[in-house]
Amino acid sequence: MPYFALAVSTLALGSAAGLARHVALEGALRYPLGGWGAPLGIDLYVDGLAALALLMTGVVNWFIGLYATAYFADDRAGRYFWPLWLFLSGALNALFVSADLFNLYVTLELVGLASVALAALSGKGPALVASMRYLLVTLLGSLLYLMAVALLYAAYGALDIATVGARLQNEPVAWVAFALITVGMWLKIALFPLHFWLPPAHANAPGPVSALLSGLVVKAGFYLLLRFWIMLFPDTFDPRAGHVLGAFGVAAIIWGSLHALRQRRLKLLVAYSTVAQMGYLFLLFPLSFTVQGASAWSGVVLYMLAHAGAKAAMFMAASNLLLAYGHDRIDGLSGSAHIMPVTLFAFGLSGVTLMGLPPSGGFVAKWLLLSAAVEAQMWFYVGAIVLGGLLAAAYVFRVLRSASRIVPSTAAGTLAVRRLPRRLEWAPLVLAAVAAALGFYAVLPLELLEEAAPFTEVAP
Amino acid sequence: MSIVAAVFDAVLGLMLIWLAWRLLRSDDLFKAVVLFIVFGLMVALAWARLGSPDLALAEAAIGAGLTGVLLLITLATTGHSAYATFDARPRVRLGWAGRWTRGLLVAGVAAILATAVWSMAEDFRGLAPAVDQRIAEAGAANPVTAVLLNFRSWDTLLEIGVLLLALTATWALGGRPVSAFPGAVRMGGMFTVLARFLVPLLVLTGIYLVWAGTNQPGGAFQAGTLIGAAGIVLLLSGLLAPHRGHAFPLRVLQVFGLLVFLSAGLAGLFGGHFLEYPAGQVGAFILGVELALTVSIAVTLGALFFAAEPHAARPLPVQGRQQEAP
Amino acid sequence: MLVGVALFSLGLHGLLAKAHLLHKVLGLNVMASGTFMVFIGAGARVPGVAPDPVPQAMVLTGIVVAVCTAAYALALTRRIRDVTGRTTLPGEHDTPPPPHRAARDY
Repeated sequence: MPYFALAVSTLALGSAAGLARHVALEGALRYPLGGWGAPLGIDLYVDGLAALALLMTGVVNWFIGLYATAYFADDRAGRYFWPLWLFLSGALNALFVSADLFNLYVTLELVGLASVALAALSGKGPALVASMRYLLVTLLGSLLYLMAVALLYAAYGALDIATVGARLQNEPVAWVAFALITVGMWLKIALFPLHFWLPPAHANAPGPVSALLSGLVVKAGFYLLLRFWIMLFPDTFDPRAGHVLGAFGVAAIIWGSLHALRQRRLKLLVAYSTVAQMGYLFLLFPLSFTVQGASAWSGVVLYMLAHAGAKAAMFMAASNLLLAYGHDRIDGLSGSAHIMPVTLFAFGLSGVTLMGLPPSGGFVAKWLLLSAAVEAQMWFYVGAIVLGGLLAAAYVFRVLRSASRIVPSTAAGTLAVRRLPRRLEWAPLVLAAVAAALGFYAVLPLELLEEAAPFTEVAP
Repeated sequence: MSIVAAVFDAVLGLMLIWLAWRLLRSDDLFKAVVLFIVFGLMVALAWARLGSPDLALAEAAIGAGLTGVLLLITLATTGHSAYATFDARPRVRLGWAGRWTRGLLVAGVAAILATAVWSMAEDFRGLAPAVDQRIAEAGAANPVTAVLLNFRSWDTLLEIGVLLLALTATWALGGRPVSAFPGAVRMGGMFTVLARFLVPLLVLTGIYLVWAGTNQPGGAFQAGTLIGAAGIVLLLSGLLAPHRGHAFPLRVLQVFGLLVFLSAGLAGLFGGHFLEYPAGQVGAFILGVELALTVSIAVTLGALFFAAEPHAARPLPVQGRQQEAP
Repeated sequence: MLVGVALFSLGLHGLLAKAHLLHKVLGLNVMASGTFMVFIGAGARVPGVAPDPVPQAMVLTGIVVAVCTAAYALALTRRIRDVTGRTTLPGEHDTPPPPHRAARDY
């Protein structure tokens, strides 16, 4: 099963690459399922944004799969990991290519159910309770979304996103639907202050699952939000609402970072850093209205990609430490830098991306965001971006300092460390390197975004 | 609309709200669940009034029936003491500020949604004209079936995915299987007799519904649920006890529908699009897919109720009561 | 449609106000029914005309999705009860778990 699943994942990655090439060469793609065509049937739609999301899923998923072949080598939980993982990958891909409001609801439920089931995989009390909370939140989010779909259909008589977008008017129904979608996705993205469910769910899951949830699943909600802002509500929208979201983004950055700094357990630290980094994505909303809107846009998408790789790598590295030491108390990881240099290097490298140091993908992304904010003279956001980076540096270095503390080799603690298979150590390192190297070839994804810029209207 | 009908609809609407209020406020969980089942039946009645017999059937079978049985079983296994009071007194503890915030939040949501609904135009036809226009090509005279299995078949395909995913997810929890209803033993042979009578009836109705579904109300989901319900009755009465040997054949049946659906979809790729059935055989394709789906839905729903893989099936008694090993 | 809105809001209140997990599942289900009611209400607004089949198909899908999620949520509830002995989420209602059959691992 593991290798079959990995083969499927390789195929999916290949198809994503093929699709991306097609989009880059020939522009956005629309596919009428059943040959009916929207608005009667359901269309699939792939533009630059969707192609990038598919590629992101393909790459990150593949490394997580590789990691999982070693992680679940002889574990009963692995029996269910593989089918659920394939369900989740399929659901994410279906979500990214869907152009239909109701179809998106079905994919959302698939993603949510698969994620919760994966989070509960360890079967231990805390994981089950965290999963229950996650399930209730994700179902509530989906229902809010579904209510929005009901309202939009009732008002505009269509489900195809572009068709609804073309018929949309600046009226109460549209505002309410928009608010429902935003709050629903807000819950799923775990943006402050609706983030309460994320840290326990992500931290109590098995290693590969934490990586999946933090790296990919939260992005699905954000992707949907992007789609709706760009394709559905480009004109009906008031910039002041963007500032509200931006303010919550800033609060998330600061709140999440401070909490990450205070955690004693490594996986909780990494989970809180996700809460913080989701805040950056929300800076898009105020900044996209500025003169440098396009630059903010590219920055956020790039940040989404870089974060997916880096955070997945970081969670895998953290899980390695947990596996090797049998615990993940940050204070108790002394000497790990010497025992597991590869893992710690992976952790540090992904940290570099998350902090936004050059030449990583995170740096380019933050640079684009910063320049947009500076250009628009929105110093509030400039300060938040800089402060977030500093705080990220603080919590990453806190871990690295603890890890590089040298302990006498005779200490019993060192002897108890379990040796890990090489695959577990190298998978996160290579993924972290890919995310970091995104800085060098950032032009490619940005060109892909240009190629079928989501700003352009699609013919209904 | 006649006055009688208008009054009836108004009473039905108020009744629904009142039932929802009562069942969500109730401190007695057993009462809440029973009220929920009544609520489900009332919703089914509402669908019938709104001209959706397909939904009325589905709601009665799935929304009220299946969900109700699942709730009752959960209650029987998690209730603090068997058949005593199912105390649901625990409420989320909040200070007065929290309660006010919550109240305002809910009231705000209600007000905003009501405004949105109120503001909508009356002359609405949605996609109905588009469906009418092309129904002749769809291979099914029942427009709901045409939408489900042809116009928007991708949704339905993914929906089968949700069903299988829910089953996998439930298996992954590794919980105890649900075994025969404790009451079945105490009622002596009564339940068994009832089961022997009920099962053929459910299966027959199911077969009729899938057969009729392409032209009349009904279809794979309603039929699958009824046949699945027959399986559940068998499980509850202890007449059927899944064991290791069932694991593989059941699994084949569970994915059968999806496989047939996918193959039918792929057949469309020859000279068309994915999920585009070859012209001239659309009706046959839809009937085939529906039959396969019915089988899979029935088996999957039954397995979902059983809640564990037959592999692990050590039928642990519900509520720690001893009962005969089937 | 107004009934749908009322049900949606009542369900939301149940989800937020009741601590017992089973009650929360009931709340979500009532919310879902409210949403379906808005869908169908939208499709049947014009009297005398056959109602729109598309919302009916969507609601049928929605009902099946709802029963799937409910079945999983209930299985999870049973599992939580088996493993931790509780039927509420910690922090929402802090009473000690019932004394008998607590924290047993199957």
